[in-house]
Amino acid sequence: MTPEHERLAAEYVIGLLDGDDQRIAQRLVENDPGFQAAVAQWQARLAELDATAPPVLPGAELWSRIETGLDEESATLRVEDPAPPVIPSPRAAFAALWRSLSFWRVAGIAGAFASLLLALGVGLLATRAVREPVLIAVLLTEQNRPAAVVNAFADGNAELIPLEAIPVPPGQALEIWTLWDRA
Amino acid sequence: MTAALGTMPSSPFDLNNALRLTARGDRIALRSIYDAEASRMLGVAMRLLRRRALAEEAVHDTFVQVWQKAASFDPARGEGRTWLYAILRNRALNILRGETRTDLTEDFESMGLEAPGEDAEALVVRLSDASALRRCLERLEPLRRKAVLLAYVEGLSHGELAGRLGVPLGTMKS
Repeated sequence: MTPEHERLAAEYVIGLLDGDDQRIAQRLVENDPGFQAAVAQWQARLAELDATAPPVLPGAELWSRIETGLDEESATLRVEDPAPPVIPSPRAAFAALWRSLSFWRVAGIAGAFASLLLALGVGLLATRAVREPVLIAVLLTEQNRPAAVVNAFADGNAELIPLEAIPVPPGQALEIWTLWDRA
Repeated sequence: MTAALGTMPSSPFDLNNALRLTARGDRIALRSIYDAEASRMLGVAMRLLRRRALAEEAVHDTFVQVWQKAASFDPARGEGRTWLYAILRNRALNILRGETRTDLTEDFESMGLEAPGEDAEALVVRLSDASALRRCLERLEPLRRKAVLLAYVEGLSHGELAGRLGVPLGTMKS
């Protein structure tokens, strides 16, 4: 840890940096463990200043906006997010796996014959809020590419979110079939 | 809701534990963090962003990020509170720098500042007597102390600090 980096870490935490310095610090904080440790130290040292902020009561609607944000987040599959580095419980590990599109891709290829992958999670997520789906299925194309996500909710509703345009011939309608996995 | 009763920590609020539960997808735990911290978080964001709508946006984005990233919080590497406010400050500084800085300064006069800047010295006084940070800040020369506080609390960059305090940029960086 050079003195230059130590100074950069302090200024990064204080919020002094902009332009190139900010970009350099951002790159270091993502990749350099020594720099990360220095940043963590400065954050801990200066945290007391946050406690001096006079509290401002949020409007009643802020929490419902946050909840909407969470729903949007869980309805969108995040392709580039890696699995979290620390996985404290099997359930969290499963939830991370659940959200990971690359897992579905790999699983889809492993079961080469499957054009439809069904994951049964009934009860697993039952303690979550009502609008959390109890069952999520990713529909794969013939080429094993994810084409759509089906979310089924505890109240019996289901929604289909196409990930790409699904052409429907005129005069016909889409049908979704669920089949028991006999394997 | 009975199933969730066991997950509600009684006072003092155990933020580390709430983060652990949030990592498992427990929304009630996330809500308990909101109940305990949101007004302080909004206060911090208001000092940085000055405008309520922007400050609420920063708090909103922070909670969505906490929901996504709670599993990456490692109690061995620091306090949950520090982790939470680091996310908030990063988000608020990004809003301040990238997305709305010009907009913010243009509107400075017309919108009125909802949170007038507090005297930097008053901030030091608010830190507890026992605070190591306070002792450390009191050892700095007044101008430097003021610079650190204005930067941290109001999000001023090197250039803005130099303008605000009437000091050449080189001096500010040293």
